[in-house]
Amino acid sequence: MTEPQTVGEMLARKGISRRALLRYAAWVTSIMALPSSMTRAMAQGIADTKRMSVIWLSCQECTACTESLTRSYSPTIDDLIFDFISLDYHEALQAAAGHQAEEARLKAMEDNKDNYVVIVDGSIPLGNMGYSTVAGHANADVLRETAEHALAVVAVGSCATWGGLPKADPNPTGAVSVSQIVRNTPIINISGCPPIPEAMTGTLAHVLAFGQIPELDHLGRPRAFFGNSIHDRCYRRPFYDKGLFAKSFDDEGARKGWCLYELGCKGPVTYNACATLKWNGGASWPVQTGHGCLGCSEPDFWDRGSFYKPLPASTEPLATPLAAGAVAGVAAGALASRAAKTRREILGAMSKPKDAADTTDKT
Amino acid sequence: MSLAPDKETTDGFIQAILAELATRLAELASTGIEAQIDLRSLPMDPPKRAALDAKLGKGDVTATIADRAGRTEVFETRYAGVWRLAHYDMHDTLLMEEIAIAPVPDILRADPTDMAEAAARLGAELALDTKKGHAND
Repeated sequence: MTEPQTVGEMLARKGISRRALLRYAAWVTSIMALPSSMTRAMAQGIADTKRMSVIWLSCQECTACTESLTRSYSPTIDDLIFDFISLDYHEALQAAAGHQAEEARLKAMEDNKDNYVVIVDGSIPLGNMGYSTVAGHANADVLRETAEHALAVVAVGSCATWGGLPKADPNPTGAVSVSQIVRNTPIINISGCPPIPEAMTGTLAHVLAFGQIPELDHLGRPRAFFGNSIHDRCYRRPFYDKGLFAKSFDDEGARKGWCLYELGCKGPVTYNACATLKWNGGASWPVQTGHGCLGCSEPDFWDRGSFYKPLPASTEPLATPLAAGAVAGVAAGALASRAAKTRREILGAMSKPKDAADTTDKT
Repeated sequence: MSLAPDKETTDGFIQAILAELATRLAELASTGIEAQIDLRSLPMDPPKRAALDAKLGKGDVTATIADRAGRTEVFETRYAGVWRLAHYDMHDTLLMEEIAIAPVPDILRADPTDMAEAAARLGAELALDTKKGHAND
């Protein structure tokens, strides 16, 4: 029996019908707020494409991003994404180890030049390259090498997107984000600590189906998931509008589900989809459990003062959000430097700069 | 039967949805252009949803699609060409609901690729049966 050439053929071989794929596409277009009329095109796009080679690099991370993607509520409709991609390298999940693992990464890069996707979790230490290495190679070197001929780099989690906890003051390892390392490849930032699994799978499905990066915000994040503040979509918002606030975690207001603003909720300055997609298969989310939003999807959230002081008292000026435009500026550069017509070029064209923020490559 | 709001559906939000439906349905009838409305993205509380469902009602076609990846319930409403769809995952968790304005919702149509594969499979089975028949002669 010949190997299936497309995702559609592979799904058919596994007994997953086109109708199931249409259902998946309907769900993805819905959570990404795409027009429903794109459902058919998304399903067809996924069915007609080859499985996308994915190389997952882990730097200074805690593995929660991987946990979020693979163990959120398994098996879910999200899991179909693993039928659409070929996860050719992931240190925590792959069976191979040592030189064999590194050979798998290099082979995936060679076999899928300009058409593979790199996912990165964790920040990259520049203070001392020895802080985080794989097979004796510094994270920064492996990332540069792997990203050079990638279709796109997806930075998942607040460590990869902004530097995260490793970058927290005094940043002992000199941690930086992906966008401060990768220069000539389009970058998609999916922040959060950890990021919402649907944000990761939906973005990958979009890239796979349409060969395009979804619309990004000024920080390089998909607008579909980061276009609204937690506050704007919070079910407790009506209490805020009425001036009804919990003053402590065990007072009458807290028991009645009033707004947690005065208990330090960072929802008004945090952009993420927790309030709509929720967590654990839609079971709940932090504010629903009675705790304010920590603002984990925003740059440098760890250094923004107490989690338990209301915003006016706790919000310090943010460090210059790195990459905003760099994310997109890099993509434009990628476009100019490529002569061949590849899907990667199409991707680059989709991620034009929103603004012109600059970043500094400390290497 | 009219899609214009009646006494039970005087809520402005429901009226807006019904007006959109009426426009899309007329467009479908005259041009064949299909449309969908994603109910998941609309902020409707249970009473509003109940009012919409009551207005649309149920027609005479109902279908269930069940496969390894989940389930979809489909029925035509009282208005020909207006369908309600509810998609569930393999744990029976509701993923999303939508209204399709179409002669037949996409998900009910057999896919050309699936039909081609089915034709090839049926042909192969027939050939095998014929071979077995000859062997038994």
